[in-house]
Amino acid sequence: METLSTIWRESTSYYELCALFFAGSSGLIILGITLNRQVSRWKRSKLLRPHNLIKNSLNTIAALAPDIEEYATEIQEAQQHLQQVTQRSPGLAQFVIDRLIELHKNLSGISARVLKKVYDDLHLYRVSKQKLMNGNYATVIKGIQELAEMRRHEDIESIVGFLDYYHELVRLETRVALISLIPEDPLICLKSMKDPLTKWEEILIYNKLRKLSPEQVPAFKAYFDHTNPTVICYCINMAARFLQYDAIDLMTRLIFHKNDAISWQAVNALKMLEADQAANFILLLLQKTKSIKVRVECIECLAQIGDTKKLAPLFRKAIDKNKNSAVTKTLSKVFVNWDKSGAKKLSETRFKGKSKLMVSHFSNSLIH
Amino acid sequence: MKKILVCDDDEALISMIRFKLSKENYGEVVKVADGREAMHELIYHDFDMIITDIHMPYFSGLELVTFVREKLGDKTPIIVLSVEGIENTVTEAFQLGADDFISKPFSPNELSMRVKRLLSA
Repeated sequence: METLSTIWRESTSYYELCALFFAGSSGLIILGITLNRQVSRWKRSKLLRPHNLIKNSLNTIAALAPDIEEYATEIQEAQQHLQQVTQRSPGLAQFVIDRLIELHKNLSGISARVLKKVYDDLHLYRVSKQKLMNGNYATVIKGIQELAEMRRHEDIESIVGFLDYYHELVRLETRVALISLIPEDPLICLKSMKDPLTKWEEILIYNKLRKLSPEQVPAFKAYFDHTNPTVICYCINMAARFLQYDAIDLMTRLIFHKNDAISWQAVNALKMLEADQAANFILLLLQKTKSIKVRVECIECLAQIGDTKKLAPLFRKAIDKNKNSAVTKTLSKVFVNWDKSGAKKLSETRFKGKSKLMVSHFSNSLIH
Repeated sequence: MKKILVCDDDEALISMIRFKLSKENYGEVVKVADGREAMHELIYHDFDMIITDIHMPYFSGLELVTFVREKLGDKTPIIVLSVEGIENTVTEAFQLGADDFISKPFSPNELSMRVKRLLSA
């Protein structure tokens, strides 16, 4: 009886051995790849299933909430699915929160209310609050945003503490969150604010103020002695916009403030309120101030509230003497409305300007 | 069977809109995430209605309205979704040929009613 080794030795040549080896190894590689693909497909399906379940459950809740009586069972079932999924892993709970917030942002009425209820009932606010304890500022910001978006008035106290956080962006996010969570007092963050007020905050506060009834609008003059110049400027502007005439006296004092931005804002506010009792003070400021921006604002303000007969000779002199183009331009514009000589003066200044422009145009080397 | 195209870069929202409209049996709902994809769909397929957001990647909702009305010469009803407080953009959308608009946040039932009204018109 032939042994295996004798068969092997007798019947296999070198080339056959190589072919056998390559066939075997390539078979193994193909098997490995197929197995790997199957495993990853299985993993993906395992991972996708809960995500799809979350998407479907939230869609069911959001879309059917307006007809909650008709679809009560379906909504309840969807909520149960969400509860089971969120308990499985923190990652899935975060996926639910992200999706829920996206829908809550875009939907109104019963849908928004039901989504908020889901957030509360599934205790997802705990996940958001945990982020506030994190050392990473970006995570803290995410937590604050989530609580603010889901209108968690119960957690205002946990958020307020971040007004003094070391990171500027966290402080900003906290203020924005508080403005949206406490709409009846949009100035709440201004009281002890040290950071400069951003344009975004200004718009947010103004939008909230517009929604208040006239009795609810706060007296902005209470903030005129604030330590933060941006807050003072904003409150002067708001006092003028909400026609708080009782603030005129304080505004008149503020026009002489050493900070040019405050001075400018006060003059601008007096112009908006057409406070003609402040005209003499503004004239005084016009003579004293060195800031061009404030001077221009003073001239525009005087043009609106000042006595034209008294101011005309002064302005005529000023046009002749002044060297700054911005001031001269404003003076001329104002003056043209007062008398004929003003119109003549304006056309003269315009002609001068034009001739200079023409000279520079023709002296351009490219033209010649 | 009616065919509706929903364009918005907010996946959660378009998924919900698709769910709602399918539930109400308005027909097949095709969702796309940006203006470019929407234009591609509109070139190769016919739709009975388009629901589009204004702010989208590649091409805005306004550009999409212009594309449908001017380039394709199509009169398919278009509903524009816009954020509250951009009245000028909404006016522009109407001038370009949009048929209706809904401001976000909105109620799913409101959307459903507007779709029904335009589809039956």
